[in-house]
Amino acid sequence: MQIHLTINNEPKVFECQPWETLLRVLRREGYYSVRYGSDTGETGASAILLNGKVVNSDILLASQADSSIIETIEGLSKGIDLHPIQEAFLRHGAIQSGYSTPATILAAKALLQRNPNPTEKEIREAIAGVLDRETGYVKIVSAILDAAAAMRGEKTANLPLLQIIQADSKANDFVQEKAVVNRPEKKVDGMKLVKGNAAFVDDIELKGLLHAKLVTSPHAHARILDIDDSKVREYPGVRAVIHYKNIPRVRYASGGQSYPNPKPYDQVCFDNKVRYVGDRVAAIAADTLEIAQEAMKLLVVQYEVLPAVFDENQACAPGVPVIHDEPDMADAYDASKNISHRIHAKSGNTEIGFAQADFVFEHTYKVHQVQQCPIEPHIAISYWDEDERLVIRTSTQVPFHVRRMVAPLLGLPLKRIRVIKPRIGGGFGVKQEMLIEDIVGHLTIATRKPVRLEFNREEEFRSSRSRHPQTITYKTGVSKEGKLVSQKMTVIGNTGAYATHGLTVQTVTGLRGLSTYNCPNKEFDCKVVYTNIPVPGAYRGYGGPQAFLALESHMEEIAHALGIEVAEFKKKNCVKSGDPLDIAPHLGEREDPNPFIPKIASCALQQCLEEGMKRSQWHRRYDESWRNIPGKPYLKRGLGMALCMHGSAIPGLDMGGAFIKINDDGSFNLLVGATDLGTGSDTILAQIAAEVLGVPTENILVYSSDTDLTPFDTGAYASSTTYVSGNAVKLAAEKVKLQIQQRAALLLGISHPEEIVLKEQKAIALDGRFVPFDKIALHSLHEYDQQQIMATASFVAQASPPPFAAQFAEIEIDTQTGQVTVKKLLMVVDCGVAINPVTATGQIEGGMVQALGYGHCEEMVYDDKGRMVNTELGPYKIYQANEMPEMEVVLIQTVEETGPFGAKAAGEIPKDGVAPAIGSAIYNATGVRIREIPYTPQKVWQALQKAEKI
Amino acid sequence: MRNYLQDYCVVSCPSLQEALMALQGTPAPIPMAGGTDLMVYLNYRRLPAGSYLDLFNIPELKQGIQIQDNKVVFSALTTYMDVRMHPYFQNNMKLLLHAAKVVGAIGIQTRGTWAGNIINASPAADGVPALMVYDAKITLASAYNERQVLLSDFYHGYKKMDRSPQEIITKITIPIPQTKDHEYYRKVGERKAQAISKVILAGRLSLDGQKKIQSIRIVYGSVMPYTYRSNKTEELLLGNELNHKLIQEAVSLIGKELQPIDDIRSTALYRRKVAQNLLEEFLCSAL
Repeated sequence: MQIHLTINNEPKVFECQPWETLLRVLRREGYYSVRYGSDTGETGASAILLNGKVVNSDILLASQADSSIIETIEGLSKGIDLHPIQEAFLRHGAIQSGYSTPATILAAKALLQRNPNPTEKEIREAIAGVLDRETGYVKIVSAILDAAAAMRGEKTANLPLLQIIQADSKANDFVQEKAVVNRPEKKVDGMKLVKGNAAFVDDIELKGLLHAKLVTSPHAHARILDIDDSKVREYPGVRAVIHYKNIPRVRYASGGQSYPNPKPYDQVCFDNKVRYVGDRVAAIAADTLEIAQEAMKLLVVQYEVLPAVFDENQACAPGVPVIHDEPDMADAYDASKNISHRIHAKSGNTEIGFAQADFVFEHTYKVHQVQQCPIEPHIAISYWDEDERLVIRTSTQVPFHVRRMVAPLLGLPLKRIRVIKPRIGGGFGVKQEMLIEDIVGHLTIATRKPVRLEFNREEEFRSSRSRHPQTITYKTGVSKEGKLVSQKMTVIGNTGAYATHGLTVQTVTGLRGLSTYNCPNKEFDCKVVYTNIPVPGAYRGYGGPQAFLALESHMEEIAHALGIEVAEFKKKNCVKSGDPLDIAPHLGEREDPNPFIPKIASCALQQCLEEGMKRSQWHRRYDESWRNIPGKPYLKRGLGMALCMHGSAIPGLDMGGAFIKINDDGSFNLLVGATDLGTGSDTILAQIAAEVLGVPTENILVYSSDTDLTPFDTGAYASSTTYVSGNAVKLAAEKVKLQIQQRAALLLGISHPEEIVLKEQKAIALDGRFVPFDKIALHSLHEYDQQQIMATASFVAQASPPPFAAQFAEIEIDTQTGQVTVKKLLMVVDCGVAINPVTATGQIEGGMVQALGYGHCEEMVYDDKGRMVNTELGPYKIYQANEMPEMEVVLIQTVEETGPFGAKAAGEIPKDGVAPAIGSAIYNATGVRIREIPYTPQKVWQALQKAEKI
Repeated sequence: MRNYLQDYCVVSCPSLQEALMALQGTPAPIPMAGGTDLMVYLNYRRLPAGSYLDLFNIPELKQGIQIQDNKVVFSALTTYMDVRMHPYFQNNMKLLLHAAKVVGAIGIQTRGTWAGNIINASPAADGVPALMVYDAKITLASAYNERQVLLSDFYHGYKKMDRSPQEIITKITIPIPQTKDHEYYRKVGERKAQAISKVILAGRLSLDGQKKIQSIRIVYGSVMPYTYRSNKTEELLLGNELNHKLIQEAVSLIGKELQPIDDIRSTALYRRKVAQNLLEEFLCSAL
């Protein structure tokens, strides 16, 4: 059928099918700013303005929109002249991945059209439909307030609120002299994102593109006795179907990690056994998505359904089914007992320590499974290029690992594969995995055609990755004086059907769980087990959030039992500068025969705690008149706190490369393998180069990342990008600086090039004479003794300097319903020098919201057959803009000597403290300790009921 | 398009009469308003193959909201957003505004209709309890008939309702309350970010000078398999003096009257208990 639309003031006539969504038709016609996030309207990524109203185009038939007036962000501005809302979004750092930014801006535009002077509450209501997994909405709201003022004609050039405290005079002096580092520079990739330009994996058009669908297991555990694909192959429009019978059996582990990937290699592309609901059975490529969907129904799979196990505490019980019983299974700790790994580490001797302790406490905590939920789900497109090389364009955090890992599965030499990472619409660890790239690769090899596979939201839940559930027991011996004497952490980690990140996540749980407090005797004892739940993997925080829920709750329980004020107790025991990280050498990723015990250098943990106590009015915790609400005896208030500590990169392992060259006009290209997944790493890397080279940030043109064009980088994970890739960029920039100094010395006739200062795009001699960079570029490229001024450098982390933080949460609880309402989150963070305080606080705000979901309302829920029941965003609840608590972030800046310009990591630490701080606040409000998250109404209510009966 | 994919067919009609005639076909096409519920299933290709009747562009159903002397009339395609934007509901029948606001995303509020919410018959529907509490009536029309049904009589089981496949809702009529009532709407769960367990209570009552209950409406969402008006407990309360003793009796009776759903995410025990607590809160707040 034909539909007539007016889009961005242009009349258009489109052909479409009556059942097609408007989202699909708009994207087909090149309106790439309208993005897929769900099929249910729940993410709002597909929002457009239909006759001036915000409408989700994923749940609107194109035919229903016939004769309508449609606005997309493509119509908002021309060229680089931006609309005031776009301008404000850039200035406020309201963009991270930018995937849903066009939808948010349109919602803001619709609001400002009818209400030029909205309140914050009205703004939050107006954008409530666009889910944001990244910013925590704080900077979005401030940007819209600012844009509204600008559009009313008021003079504004406001920045978001930044609260920065220098830890000491050294930090103060250090940041004073910086030109672009530690400044709120605009995102270097912001323009394309704020305009909704075609920047993401799916934003390209390829002739003859085939659409793939993955057939997945309906059973939690079953053997595939046979697959009959004959009806699928006969179905018109089907081009290939692949499964265990026609794809070579090559064992691998899918976690995106450095070579050699941790064992066991317990996966193959397609197996004759399925181990969870959502596990791979077959893949189909067809001319259209609908044909592929229909053809899926024709695949005849004969299953022998086996008993299944889901709880990590049941996984090793006698009589439990063996999940990896395939004959070629190797290298698991004990596959016959479903144990993938045993991890054991200690410093000192805990047994002796417990004997010496005056008091011993032991508590067990249980943490659950949640999903990363990037608004852009997994998507990959592959095709043969003109050189007969396979190009995989994919939404990944680890393009170089993907290339190395996918090659043996496809049977191609690595050199015949190129992996391109365009912009990513969020990752949070779920894309630190080689998850679907082999499937599109196989299908392109089978058909010689371009193939696209995109997970829908349900598939993203069932068949991608998630956070490891764990059961954690702490046993701690304490002296009369309240000092830790001995601490043992016992963990059972649930790695689901495959081990992928099972070893490393659980190792990090131990590392995080035993590092924040000084204790002469520490021990970590962990079992990682297979079960039949969908596979956990990497999720921002990487084992840390699990550890901190248990550690911080446990420490608080001890403090209460000893009658010591909890903040005092933690302060008495927590680490400070100069303290050893004694468990770290025993929990590294690589065996080290000569373990070196690192010491903590920069550390403002105590300051973070004190500042937070002041700002949260910590004394209210002990004020009955604040905790009780007059006239509402069933409502209680509570205030809670947790300390946090993370790492910056994996020492001895994480490496990043950078390449910088000068252009004729004195601008520079910076090529990095580091993958900006919305974190702002392109921007801070540009700032680091700009600071060294004495140019404005916008003169650094960043490209990341493409295995053909950019240097190697392990990828965006382990809080490593600022620290590792940042140092690599700094080193490369310093080499380029040297070449510029030499060229300037030549031009100025100076014999000491090292005395030349680079500043404001000029090379300036001591006597004040200078050469502008464009002259240097032209001279070196064209005029005399021609050379390309360029340099490469790489950096491998030798240390992992920890960032620190104190997290506070204020809640209200309804004891009649068990409903907890989080009123305020405050986080005081020491992440070294923040290269860009806007992106750093943006990371912290966004991370806190994910952590809030973890502690409060997000939960993968299963029926007794292991089928996840809440595979939509809605039933799987993510905070909307109008449901948010008040958020406050304070940076306390230290100078980390080993970091680039004093920086440490900020990306993961906000995931650590929110859940235990809420638990602490619930305890404060009710006197009841809940040792299990999330704190959902029914769970809280039941705990309160139980406590009442006792 | 290849014929094997023509299983989904969407019919669009320019007038109500033609739409009603289309519904006389065999099998009758499934009517679709804003599409916010149906499209979810269509996208996942979980809807039965067949034809769908697009109502969204029928002028007779797009008459907006009319405020009359003693009633408010929603034309069938009235959306949640229409109610949010209408000045009348800022100060009158505020439970409707409240319900409109708690419906998920803004992009759904602009397309989702009250009538569609009724026909989708989700036990967790946000809009239905608010309508029911105001004694809303729905007008159902077919090609040959038109009738009115009290919304609280419309459901009789999970997704079971008093509607023939040939009928669509053409309007919703809500009498304007003639007394200054005490009103209550609370959703435990979704609002403030918790979808895990939901209980909705919408309530309305008026007292005379002697604190005797003159009128009472108690409607639950998410507790029973359909939006439920608790007649028995209303009966107990009506005409009696509102005091703590009566409230306790009502709380106890509602515990027996409700047969809550028991699912993976929320137990019947919890639902019943919270339903009781909410009723207590509602009644106490009127004391």
